[in-house]
Amino acid sequence: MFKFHSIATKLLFETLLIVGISLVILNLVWINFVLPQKRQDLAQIQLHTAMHAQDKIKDFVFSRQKELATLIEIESFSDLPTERKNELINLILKNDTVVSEIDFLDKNGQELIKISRLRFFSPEEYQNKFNTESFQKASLGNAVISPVYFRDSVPYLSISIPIYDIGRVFTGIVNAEINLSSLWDVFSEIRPSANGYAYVVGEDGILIAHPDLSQVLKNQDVSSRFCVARVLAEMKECSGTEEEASYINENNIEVFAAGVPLKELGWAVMVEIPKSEAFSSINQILRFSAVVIAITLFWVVVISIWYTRRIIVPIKQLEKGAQTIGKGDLNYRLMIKTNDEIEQVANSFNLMAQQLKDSYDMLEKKVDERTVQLTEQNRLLSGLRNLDQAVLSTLEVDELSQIIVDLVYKELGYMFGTIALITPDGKYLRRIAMSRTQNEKLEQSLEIVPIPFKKQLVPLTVTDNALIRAIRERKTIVISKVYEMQKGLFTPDVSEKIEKLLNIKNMHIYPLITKDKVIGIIYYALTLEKEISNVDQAIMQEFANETARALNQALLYQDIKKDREIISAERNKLAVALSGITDAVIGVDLKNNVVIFNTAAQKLTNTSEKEALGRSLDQVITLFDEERVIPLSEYAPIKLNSFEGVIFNKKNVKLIAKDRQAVVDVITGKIKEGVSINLGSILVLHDITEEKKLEEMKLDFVSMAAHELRTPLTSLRGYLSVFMEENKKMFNDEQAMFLNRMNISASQLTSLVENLLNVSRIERGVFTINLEQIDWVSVASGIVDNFQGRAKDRHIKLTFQAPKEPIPKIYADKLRIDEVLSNLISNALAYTKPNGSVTIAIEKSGNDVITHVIDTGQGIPKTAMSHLFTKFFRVSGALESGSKGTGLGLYISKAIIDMHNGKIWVESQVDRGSTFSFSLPIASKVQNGQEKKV
Amino acid sequence: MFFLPITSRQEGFSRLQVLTAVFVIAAIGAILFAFNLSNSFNITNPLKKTPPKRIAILTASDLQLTAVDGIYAGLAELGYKEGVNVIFNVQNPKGDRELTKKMATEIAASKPDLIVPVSTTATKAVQEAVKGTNIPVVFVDVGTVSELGILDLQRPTGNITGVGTDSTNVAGKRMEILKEIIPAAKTFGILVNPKHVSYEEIKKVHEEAADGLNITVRFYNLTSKEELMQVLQTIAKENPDGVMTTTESLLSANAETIAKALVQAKIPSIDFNEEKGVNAGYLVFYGAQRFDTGKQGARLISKVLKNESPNKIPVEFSTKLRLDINATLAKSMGVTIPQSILRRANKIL
Repeated sequence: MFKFHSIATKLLFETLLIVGISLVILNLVWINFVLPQKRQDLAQIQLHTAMHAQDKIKDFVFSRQKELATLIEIESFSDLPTERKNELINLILKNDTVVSEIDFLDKNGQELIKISRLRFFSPEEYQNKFNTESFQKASLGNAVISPVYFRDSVPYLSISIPIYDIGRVFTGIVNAEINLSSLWDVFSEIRPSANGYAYVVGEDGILIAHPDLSQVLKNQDVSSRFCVARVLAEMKECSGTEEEASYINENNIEVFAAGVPLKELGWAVMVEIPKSEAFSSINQILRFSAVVIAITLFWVVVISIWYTRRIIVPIKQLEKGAQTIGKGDLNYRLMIKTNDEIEQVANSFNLMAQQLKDSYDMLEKKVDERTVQLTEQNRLLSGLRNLDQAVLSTLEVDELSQIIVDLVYKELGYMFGTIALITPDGKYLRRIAMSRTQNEKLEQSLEIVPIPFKKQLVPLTVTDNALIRAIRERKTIVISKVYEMQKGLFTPDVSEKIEKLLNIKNMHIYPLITKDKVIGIIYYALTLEKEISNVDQAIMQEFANETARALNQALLYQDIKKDREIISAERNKLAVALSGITDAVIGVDLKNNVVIFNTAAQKLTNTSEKEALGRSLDQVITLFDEERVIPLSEYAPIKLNSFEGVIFNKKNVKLIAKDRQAVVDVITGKIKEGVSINLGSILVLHDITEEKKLEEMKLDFVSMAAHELRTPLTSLRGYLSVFMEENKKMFNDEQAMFLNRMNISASQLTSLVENLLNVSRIERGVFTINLEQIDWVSVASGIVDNFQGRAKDRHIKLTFQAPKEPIPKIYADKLRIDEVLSNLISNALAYTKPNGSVTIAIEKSGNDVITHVIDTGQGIPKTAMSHLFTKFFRVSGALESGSKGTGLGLYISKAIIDMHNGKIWVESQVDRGSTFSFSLPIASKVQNGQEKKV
Repeated sequence: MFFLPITSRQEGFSRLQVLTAVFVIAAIGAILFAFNLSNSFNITNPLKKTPPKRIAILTASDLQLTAVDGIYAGLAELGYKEGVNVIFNVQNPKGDRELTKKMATEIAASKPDLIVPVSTTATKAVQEAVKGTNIPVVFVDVGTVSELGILDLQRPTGNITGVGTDSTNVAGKRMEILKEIIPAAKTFGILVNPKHVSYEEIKKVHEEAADGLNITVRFYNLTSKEELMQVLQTIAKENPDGVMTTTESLLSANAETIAKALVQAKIPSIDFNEEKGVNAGYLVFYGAQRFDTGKQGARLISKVLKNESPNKIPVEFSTKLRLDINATLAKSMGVTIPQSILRRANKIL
C-alpha cells in the first residue's frame, strides 16, 4: 500500500497541495476581479435591450395612432356616410388584428357606431361617453391614449382620435381599442440572452406585456420590484447594477433586472436576465480553468514522478550500498555519478566503508590476541569447574585430593601436581596425593624414593625445606631443584635422580590457605618445555585457592563426621539409660508433642511408645493437683529462652493416662539447647502410688490403733487419777512415785495418741479448724501461765513479754492455736536446761501478728533445721535424749499454722538457744466463723 | 518514459502509487467541475431520460381536428416530439355524446399526464371523468367557457385551464354579417341541437342579436341524424331569409348535406365551422381559426407539462377570427355579396 513516509509520496502530495491550492486561489481572485466588470457589461446589454423594446412598444402604439389618424383624415371620416364608415372600420379590424373594437362618437360623445371583432352590438347598447376622460381630452384636439385597463384579465388601451370636418370643426372622435395581449408576440422576440426577456409594466405597476401571456393575464402587480419602482417613480433608467436590482421572479429564478421608462405612456420597460445565465460566460471560463488546473495537476504529478525518480534512484542505490556495507561487505563501493550532494554522500559512504574496513582488520588482530588469552583462561575455568564438580562428588579428603591433582595434569596441562596436608597434630606435613599420569618416568621416580609416598612426613620444624617455608611464610615459592623440597626426607642424590629422570624445570609451591589458616600445600611440577605466562601463574594461584577451600570443607566434614559418631554413641548410651531407669521420662518438643517416651513411662501410662510419640502431651497424660487439673502450660510450659534447669516440681500429683491412675512426683526440666533441637522440656515422673498405698495403710493402722488405744487410756487415766486421789495417804513415797510415773506415762501416751490421730486427720485432709476473732494477747498470756508450774519444776524462767503496742484481734481457732503455742512452749521447756529462760513475745508486723517463743536452750544443729517440721522427726544427739516428744508436735503445729494462712519458722544457734516464731493474719483480713479443712 | 511499468519497488513509485495520484487529480478535477457547473447552469442531464409525457386528446367530432393539428404544430414549435418526449392518445367519438363520456372515463382511468379536451362537450365530459383525480386538464376551443363553471379566469379552479374561443358570442357577429349580405332579411332560421351543453346560452345570444338587427329567428331543433332530412324539409318549406348553424358536431358531421339542401332551397347560410364552411357549400363562414386556437393551447399544454399548476395559468381566449365567402355560390344563388363584405373577407371562393 501507500507509503506515506516515502519521499516520493510526500513530494507528490505536497506539490499537489501547493500547486492545487495556488491555482484555486488564483481562480478565486480572478473571479472576484472579473465579476463586477461582467455585471457592468451585462447591465449595458440589458439597458440596450430595454431601449430596443421601448422602441418596439412605441412603434406598436404610436404607429397605430398615426395610421388611424392618417386614415381618418384622408377619408374625411366625418363626412362619410354611415355604411362607408362601417366599411372602413371593418377594414381596419380586418387588417389589424390587434384592434378589437372601434367606436365612433359624435361631438356630443354619443356612440354612433360600435363594431367589435367578436360580437355584434345593437344600437340599444350604444352609450354616451361625453364625460369620459378620453373623450374630453380628445375633444380638445389631440389624439389621446388611455391608461391601460383590463377586461376579462386582458389588458387593453384605447386610442382616441378627434375628427374634424372640412371646416376644421370638431365632429366627434374615433376610438380604437387595442388588445395589448398581442404584445407578448412582440416581446417574445426581444431577448437579451437565451433565457432573458423584456416585459412592460403599466403606470400602476401592473404587468401589461410579457413573453408569457399567462403572466399578463394574471394582472400581476410588480411595482415592488426595485427597478420597476424606480423607473415608474422617477421615469429614469435603472441600470440594475445595484444589489437590490436582483430578485427572485415568478418562476423562482434569481434574475438581474434593468429598465427604462416609456415616458409618453408612463410605463416601464424592463429586462430580466437569469443570474446564472448572466455569468454563464464566467462559468465557462471557470470550467476552462478547472480543466487547466486538472491538466496542470496532472503534469505536476508526472513531473513529480519523474523528478522524484531522479532523486530516489540514487537514494535507493545509496540505501542498497549502505545495506551491503552494513551486512559486512566492506569492499563494496558506491558508483553514483549525479554530480550533486548525493554523489558527495556516496563518496562519504565509500570513505566510511574504507575506514570501517581498516578498523575491522585491526579489531580482528586484537580479537586473535584476546582469543589466545581467553583459551588460557578457559583452561583455568575448565579446571575450576571440574574442581567444583569434584568438590560436589566427594568430601573424602584423600579422594578429593587425588581428583584435584589429577586435574592439574589433565586440565591445567602441567607435568603433575602434589598435595600435602598438615597432620591433625600440627607436627608434620604429609603427602596425600600426586597426579596419576601416563608418564612412566613418574612411576619410576616413585620407585627411586626409599619411603612410600603417603608415608613421607616432613616435620614442620625443618626450616630449610621449601614446602615448610611456603607454609610458614604463607607465600608462593618457586624452586628449580627438587631437593629443596625434599630436605629432611631424602638425601640430595635421590632428589637429583628424580630431577634428571623427570626433566623438571621448576616447581611452584602454593600454600593452601583458607580462612587465614594454612592447611597444607599444593605444588605444580613443570617440564623444561613449558613457558610460564602470567596467565599460568594466575591459574596456579586460583587453583590453589579453590583447592584450599575444597579441602578445608572436606576436613571440616571429617570433623563433623567424627562428632556425629560421638553424638550417636552418646544418644545410644542415653537411650539405654532411659530405658533402664525406673522413673518415667517423657520428652516433648516445642509444641508439647511427645518425642521421648521411655519404658518406665510406657509402663506408668500403659501407653506404648508408638501411641505416645507425636501426640500432644495432654492427650497422653492428665495431671491433677487434688481435684484441679494442672494445665499443660503449668507443668510443661514452652519457654523459648536459654533457661536451663527445673521449671516445675510437684509431689503427690495424680496422673490419669488411658485406663490407668497413679500418683507421681513430677519434675519438669529444660535444657538450654532445647530451642535449637526442638526439645521443649523433659518430664520425670516418679511413681509413688505404691508408697502412697503403704502410707495410707500406715495411717489407717495408726488411726485405728490410736482410736483403739484412746478408750482404754482414758479409762486408765481416769481410774488412776481417782485411785491416786482417793488413796493418796495410803502410799509410801516409793509407791506414790510409781503411781505418779504411771500417771505421767498415761498422759504422754494420751498425748501421743491424740497427736497420732491429728496426724492421721491432717494426712487424710479431715483436720478442720474453726476460725473466730480472738484476743490473742490475753489467750497467749493465759497459756503461758498454765506452764508456769512446769517451768518452776524445771527451774526455768518462763516470761510472757507484754507487747509494746496494742495488738489487734486475730482470726484463729482458739483451741488449735492454743495447742501450737503450748507445743512450742512445751518444747522450749523440754530443751532448755535449768536456770535458762523461755520468753514469749507478741508483735504486729504488717498485717500479721507474730508470736515468738524464745529459749536459751541447746539450739538445733543446721543439718536438722530442714527436717524440723516433718513428722516423726526428732533431733538426734543431745536433744533427743532430753526430750520426751513424739516427733509429731512441730509437724502438727505447722499444719495448723498453714491452715491459718500463717507461717512458722525457726532461728537457732547451737548452745545459744532457739526462737520459734509463727505469724497469724489479723482479724480484718479473714472472715468470721470460717471453717477450713486441710 | 517514466510511465512504463516499474518492475521493482526500489525504482521509485509503484504502479499503485501512480494510479492513486491520477485518481487524486481526477477527484480534484471532478470537484472543480461540480463546483462550477452547479453554480452556472440549470442544464438537465442529457443522459438522464425522463419518460415521455402522455397526453390524451379528446375531441367531440371531426370538427375539432383542425385544432388538434394546431396543438401538434404548437407543441412541435415548443420542442416536443411525439414518441420522444410526448405520446399522444387522440380519441374522437365522432359526435356521439354518450361515447364522448365513455371515452372521457376511459382516458381518465388510463391516468395520462395531461388531458386535452377539445370543444365544450369534450371538456364537460372530461371534467366529469377526472373528478377525484389530480390529472391536469387543458381545454382548447371551448365556445362557452362560462358553461365550465370556472369562476375566476385568472386563477381557474379545478386543476383546469385552457383556451376559449367565445364562439357562442360570435353568433351575433355571424348574424350581423348574414344580415349585411341580405339587408332585406326578416327571418333567420337557426339550426340548433337542444341537447347541446350550451343550448340555452346559444339561444339567448341569437335572440339578443336578432333583436338588435330586427330579425325574427326560428330555431330548428336537430338532435339526431335521423331527424336531419325532416328538419331540412321543414326549413325549405318555411323558407327563412337565411340560415345559421350553431357550434354542434352533428351539424359539422352533416355539413355537406345541410349546405346542399339550403342551396337547393336558395337560402343563404352562414356556418361556424372553419373547415367545412364555404368548402362544404355554405355561403359564408365567420369564426375562430381553430388551428391558431390549437397552437395557443399548445403553449398552455407546455406549461402544464413543465409542472406548472393549471390553477396558476389564466384562461386565455382566441381572438383570431376569419371571414370566408363563397362568391361563386352566391352568384349561382343570385345573392349579391356587398363590396364591404368582400373587402373584409379573408378568403373568397
